[in-house]
Amino acid sequence: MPPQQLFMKEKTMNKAEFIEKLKVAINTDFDLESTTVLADLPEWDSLASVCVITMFEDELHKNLDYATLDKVKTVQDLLDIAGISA
Amino acid sequence: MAETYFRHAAVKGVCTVVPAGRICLDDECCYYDNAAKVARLKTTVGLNERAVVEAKTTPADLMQYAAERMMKDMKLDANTIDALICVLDNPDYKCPPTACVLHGKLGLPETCMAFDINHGCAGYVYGLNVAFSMVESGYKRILLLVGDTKSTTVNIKDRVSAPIFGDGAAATLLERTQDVEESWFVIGAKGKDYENIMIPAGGARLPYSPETAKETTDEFGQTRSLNNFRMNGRNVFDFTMNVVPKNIEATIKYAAKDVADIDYFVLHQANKSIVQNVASRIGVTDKRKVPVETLAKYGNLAVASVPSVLNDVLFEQLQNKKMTVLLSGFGVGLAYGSVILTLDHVYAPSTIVYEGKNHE
Repeated sequence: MPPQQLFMKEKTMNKAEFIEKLKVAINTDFDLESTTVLADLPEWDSLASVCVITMFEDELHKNLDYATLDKVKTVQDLLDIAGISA
Repeated sequence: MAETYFRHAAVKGVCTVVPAGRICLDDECCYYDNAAKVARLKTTVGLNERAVVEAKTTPADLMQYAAERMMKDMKLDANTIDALICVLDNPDYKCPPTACVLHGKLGLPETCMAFDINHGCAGYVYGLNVAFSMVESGYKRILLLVGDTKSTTVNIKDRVSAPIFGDGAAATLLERTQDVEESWFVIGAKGKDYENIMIPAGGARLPYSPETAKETTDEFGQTRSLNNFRMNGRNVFDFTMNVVPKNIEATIKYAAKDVADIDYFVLHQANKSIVQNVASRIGVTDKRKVPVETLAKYGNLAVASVPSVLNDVLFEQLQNKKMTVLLSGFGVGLAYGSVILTLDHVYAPSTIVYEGKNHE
């Protein structure tokens, strides 16, 4: 048997696309900048964090866990994890 | 991960029972800051209604009801059953095993072995693996009963656990087959992380006392006592996403199959985002292959959640077709396991509502 590729390959997107998806995941109307601190958003709560993890899974095929997310402060931190540069 | 393979054991029937009572999340807005949060819980976590027992109804009552219904419908002669296995973590008594109590109530013969397995959300796959091993080594007909009533062990003010779990039970019949019926199990446990899902008090380590019944509120505003079920949702989420896709992949490889060979992936209905994230991770693009509907109807039925999908979503296909399915359970323990097996024209009625008496 040849090795099977079961897991989907990681995907990527540009910064503007990422921020648009992130806004939907967090369910916020605020304009997100790289420097935006997630904890400052009124919508940032446990549900928003699940949605961000799900967004990473669906849109980037990347496994983001709470242990990693706990260290995240800004939108830039998420961009770094997603591997998206300016 | 332990790998086991069987050639002469098959599931012949499965029957899920839920109580009639329902609690809807819309009626619990008092526990949340605003109605928008409730709406988001419904879309993100997939919650809506959950099945709850009336006071005094135990998991064993639901399990007995499911077993009696299946035995009647399948016209089973009780004397032909040679083992009864109950998987639950909320037994009627600390001693004897619930399986022995139900052995008597179901009129099973003295020649029938009876024992419990203490397990939760991974328990259906664990129970199947034990039962398949026994059938392969000589037992001819085994009754596997699983059930839980989490609504009686959670604290209603603990919004991490209370809104997720529902009550239910299932009976499954396994038989030895003459023809070759293959099945593949891959099972594991991560016992060092057991504290992430537990009821701390009530066992030998910490007996119930006025002290353990005192409620406290944690840093996230969740209220519960040591007598209540508790779960660290974040750690369990990470555990699931780190372990379950790998376990499913290992099972598919062990069976030398491909994702496309599996007709349905019946995952433990932990919550909607977990089920859908696992599905995405293993590369199943057709969402119909990974049902998640029962969560919003009954809640997460713990040990009975995998069979509830079989009876609630797939009952028509199960009765009329031959299908290859993957079942996967994960949770309390922390334990996990998956099996790939064939379900060929099995007895599988649509989910049944419990109409039994409240037993004293």
